Amino acid sequence: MIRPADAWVLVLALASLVAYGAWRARATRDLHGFLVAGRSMPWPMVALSVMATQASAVTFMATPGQGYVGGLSFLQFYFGLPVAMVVLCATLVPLYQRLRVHTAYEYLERRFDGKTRTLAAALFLVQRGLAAGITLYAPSLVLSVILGWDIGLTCVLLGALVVGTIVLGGSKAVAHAHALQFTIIMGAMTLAFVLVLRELPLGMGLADALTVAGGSGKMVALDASFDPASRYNLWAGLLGGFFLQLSYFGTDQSQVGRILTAGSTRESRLGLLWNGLFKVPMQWFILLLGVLVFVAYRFEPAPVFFNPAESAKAAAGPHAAAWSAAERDWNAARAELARALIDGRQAERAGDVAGGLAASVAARSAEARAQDARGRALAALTATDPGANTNDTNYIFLRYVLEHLPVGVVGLVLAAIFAAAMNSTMAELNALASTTVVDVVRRLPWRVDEPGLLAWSRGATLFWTVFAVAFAQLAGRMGSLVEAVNILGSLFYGAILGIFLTGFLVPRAGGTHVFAAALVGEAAVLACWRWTPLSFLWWNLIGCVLTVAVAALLAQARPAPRS
Amino acid sequence: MIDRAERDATTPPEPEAPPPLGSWARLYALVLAALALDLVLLAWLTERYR
Repeated sequence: MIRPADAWVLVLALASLVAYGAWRARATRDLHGFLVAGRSMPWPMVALSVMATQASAVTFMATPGQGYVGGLSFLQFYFGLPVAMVVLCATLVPLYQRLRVHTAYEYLERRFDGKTRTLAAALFLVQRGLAAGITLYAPSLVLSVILGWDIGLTCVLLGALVVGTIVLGGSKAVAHAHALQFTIIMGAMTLAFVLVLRELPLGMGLADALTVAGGSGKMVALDASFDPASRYNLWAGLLGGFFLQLSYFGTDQSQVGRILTAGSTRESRLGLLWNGLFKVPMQWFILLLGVLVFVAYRFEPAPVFFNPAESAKAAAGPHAAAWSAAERDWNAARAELARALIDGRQAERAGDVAGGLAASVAARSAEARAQDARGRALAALTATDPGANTNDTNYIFLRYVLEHLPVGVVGLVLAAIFAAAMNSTMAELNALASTTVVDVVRRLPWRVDEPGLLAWSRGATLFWTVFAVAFAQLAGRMGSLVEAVNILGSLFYGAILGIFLTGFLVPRAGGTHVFAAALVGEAAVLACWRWTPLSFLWWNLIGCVLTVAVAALLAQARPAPRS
Repeated sequence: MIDRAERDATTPPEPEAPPPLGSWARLYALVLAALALDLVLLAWLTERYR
């Protein structure tokens, strides 16, 4: 249960954010402001907004959990990002700014035809609508864990809060709120990092913690081996990640919408390049926080399963005896592990090689027994409820924060999570509403005037919120949320990026060529997902290359008439 | 909104301030060099704590 002081910090921080959003919202009274903030944002605002849109509550909660479970290897996912920023600045950004478009898909009608624009917009709407469900689910998870609320109801409440702010504020409010939110989130993260480091026993410093983490394989940030089935390695990150980030920042309206709020090409470019410069170090820092939590838990009792709701169900269910036995063995093995690690550290300091070796053997044995006990606990969990989610990655960091950080800081960290959730969901819903209005409603046979379009924008925001809330009910079964968002995006990004790249690379390709090619690319990606063990980052490359190649072949066979 | 969009499209853009470092190519090179440095540091860290 949250302590009163933390509740006050949380309420005050959220109230400030909502008040700030409402204050900014007062100026947004037309559709141009609602869609692209009147193209008035300077580059620092664009940079913060772009980074905040990508760094949602999922980033804040699930990435440290990812660091705890998989170490730094997830960092490789971002290696293609700086290259993608440079390519975007040189190609799509000046094009978008020159054409003065409101959505990325407007460009496709000018280059190809209406049906290609509709296809890309439809792929975006489906993919981003589903992803918005996950970004809404993440903070709801926080509330349900802390307050014991029903998670479905919590999703609905948070959705209502977000939709209220965005309907009032539009794109401008989103951009300004992002700047404030990003400051809060990075401040809270830095504070958490320092406090976790100070919690480490035996006067351990950062270097000692990294040595302990390295001993458990958590410090592998770069794996140069080439394995297509491996989710994170250098090549998947550089090549697959490049295509994913290129598609996300260049063709996903939730990011293109942020880039278009800039007053000029210069401001858009500087915002993106700033992101390219600092994204990898920032993600390293967030993952390292998770690694530090892992090290801290090596020396003190850790729960056998981090999701308290599922644990409570198993402890009270028909397999309670098996659960209790597993939990008891886990606690004993973990206590032994902590003792062995402390002995090892002391032996190392005393230069006692034999003592160090003995401690290392004892630690390995305790670790094996702990893993065995956790396996039995998970078996009891699924025996109690076959539908139970056995992935507790998303709960790890939150649990640590609640149980270890001092009063006040817990409230601040929770406020950061809520702020991140609200603002990333806002950006997504704003993009979904923009695409619905600009790429669908404005092209309807009957003309809708500006007040009508503004009303449609607000209505579309409401519709997509309901859609996201409905999908959020399923998000809990998707494992690590930060991975789920990217896997979902990778199902569609390749074909969408392929459509845009065909526009640049295949001058002879027409609308029908690229439309057919995109369907082939998308079918191939879906086949990879369904029937191959290929890691999701490669889907982006396959979908993109196949779309461009098939469009080029079709254009070669039957060139489009010149318009 | 459409009127405004049309006005946007027809208004000649104001001359932009030059990028930091004097050219975009230099800025792009800086971002890519920073990535290369990140990779070298991460490779070193991976080996150091393996």
